[in-house]
Amino acid sequence: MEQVVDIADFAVSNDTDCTLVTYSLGSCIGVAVWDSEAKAGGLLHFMLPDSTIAPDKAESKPCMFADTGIPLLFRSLYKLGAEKKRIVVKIAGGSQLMDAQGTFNIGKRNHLVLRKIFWRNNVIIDAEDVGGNDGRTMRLQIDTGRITIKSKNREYEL
Amino acid sequence: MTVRLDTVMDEIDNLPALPGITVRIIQVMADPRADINHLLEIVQYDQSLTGQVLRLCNSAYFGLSRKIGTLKEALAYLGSKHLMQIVLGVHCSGLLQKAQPGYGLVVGMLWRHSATVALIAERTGKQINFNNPGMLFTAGLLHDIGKVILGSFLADSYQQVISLLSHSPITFPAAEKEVLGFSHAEVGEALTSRWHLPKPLVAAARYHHEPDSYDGTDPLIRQTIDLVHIADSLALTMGLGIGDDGLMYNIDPTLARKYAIADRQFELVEADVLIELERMETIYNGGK
Repeated sequence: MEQVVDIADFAVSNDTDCTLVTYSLGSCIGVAVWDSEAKAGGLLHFMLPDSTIAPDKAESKPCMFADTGIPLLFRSLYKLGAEKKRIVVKIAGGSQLMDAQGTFNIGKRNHLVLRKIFWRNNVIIDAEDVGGNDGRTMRLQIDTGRITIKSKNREYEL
Repeated sequence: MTVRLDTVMDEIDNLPALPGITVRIIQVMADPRADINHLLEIVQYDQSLTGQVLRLCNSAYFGLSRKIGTLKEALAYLGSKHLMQIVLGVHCSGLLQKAQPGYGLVVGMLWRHSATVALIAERTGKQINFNNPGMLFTAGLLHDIGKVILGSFLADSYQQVISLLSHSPITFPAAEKEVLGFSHAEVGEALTSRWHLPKPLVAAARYHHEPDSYDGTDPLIRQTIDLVHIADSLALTMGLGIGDDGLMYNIDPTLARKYAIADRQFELVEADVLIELERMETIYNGGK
C-alpha cells in the first residue's frame, strides 16, 4: 500500500506493508528516515529553508520549512520506537531551473540549511541525490528501508 | 518525427470548443473596467454553471451560516474575486484536469500547476501595482493550455524527447521543437487565438518561456508575459505540477530585478501561494 506525502507534509509509519511516496520534488527536498530495528520510517517533503519568514505558516504547516519540519519528522519517528543512533537518513531534491545565474536558488538554500541543521545535531546524511534540473519522485519501503528515486524514465536506488 | 501545424490544428478542432460563455467570462475578466454585474449577467443565463457556482458557494469550505440561493447573494458573501475564480475554475478545470502522459503528468497535475501560476501571477501583479491582477490570474491559468493538445502527440514520441533531454542540456520546449517541430507555447498561441481570447492572454501562452522574444510595444502585454514567466518559473521551482519535464526550462534572470522583487520575497510568495492553492483545490474538487 502506498501512502502519498504531499508538498509541505510528512508521514511516519511502522506498517511493513506500507511504502511512503512523495512526487514532484523540484527545489523542495525529500528527507527519508528509517530505523532497521523499529522497522519504522518517515518521509518529509519540505519546501523552504527558514520558518522565520512566516512564523504563522510554520505554526499551521510546520513541514513547509526545514527548520520546523525536520525536528517534527525525527520526534514522530522516535514515538515509533526509533533511536537516533540507528536512523538512516537519505535526501533527494533541491533542483533548480536552467540558469547559470542561479535565479530562485531556493533548492541550494534548502540543501545548505538542511546540512547545517543535521551538522548541529550530529546527524549524518547516508546518501543524497541533490541538485540538477530534474524533478524527482522519492519512495521509502517501510519493510526494507529501501529508498528509490524516479526521475524522467529512470528509477534507481539511493 | 515532425508534426505539421495543420495536423495540430485539426486536433484543436477536435477538442470540445471552449463554450462561448467561458470566452465571454474571460474577456470580461481581462477588462479592467468590467464590473462584476456584467459577469453575473452572463453566468445567470447558464443554468448548469449557476448551479455549480451555488453548490460551491454552499459547500462546507466557505462555512456560510445560511443557504445562498442566487448569484447576487453569492457575490455579496464571497466577494467578486472568489466568485470570478469559481466561475472560471468551473469552466477550465475540466480541460486542465486530464492526465497528460506525454509530459509525465498524472490526473490533476496540469491543473495544479496552472492554478499555482495563476495565483503567483496575480499576487506578484498586486505587489507591483499592475492594474488588472484578475487578468494575470486568467493568463496564468491558461498559459500551458497548449500542453492539452500537444500531450497526445508527445505521448507517441515520448521516448525520443526523454532521451534527448537525458543526453543534451536543452530545455523541454527546445526538445519539443526538435522532436515535433514546435513547442506547447506555439500551440497555446494557436489555440487561444482561435478562441478569440484577449491579446495579453494569447501572448502569455506564446512567450511564457521566452519573454524576450516578444518584440511588441504594448506595455500591458509586456508585463503580462513577464509576470506569467516569473510565476511559471517559481511554480516549476516549487515542483507544483511538474512532470518528466522537471525543471528543464530557462528563466530570464533580469526580470526579478526589473520589477524589484527580492529573492526572499519569492520565498514568502511560495509560502502564501501554497496555502491559497490548497484553498482553491478544496473548492474545485467538489467543495468538500
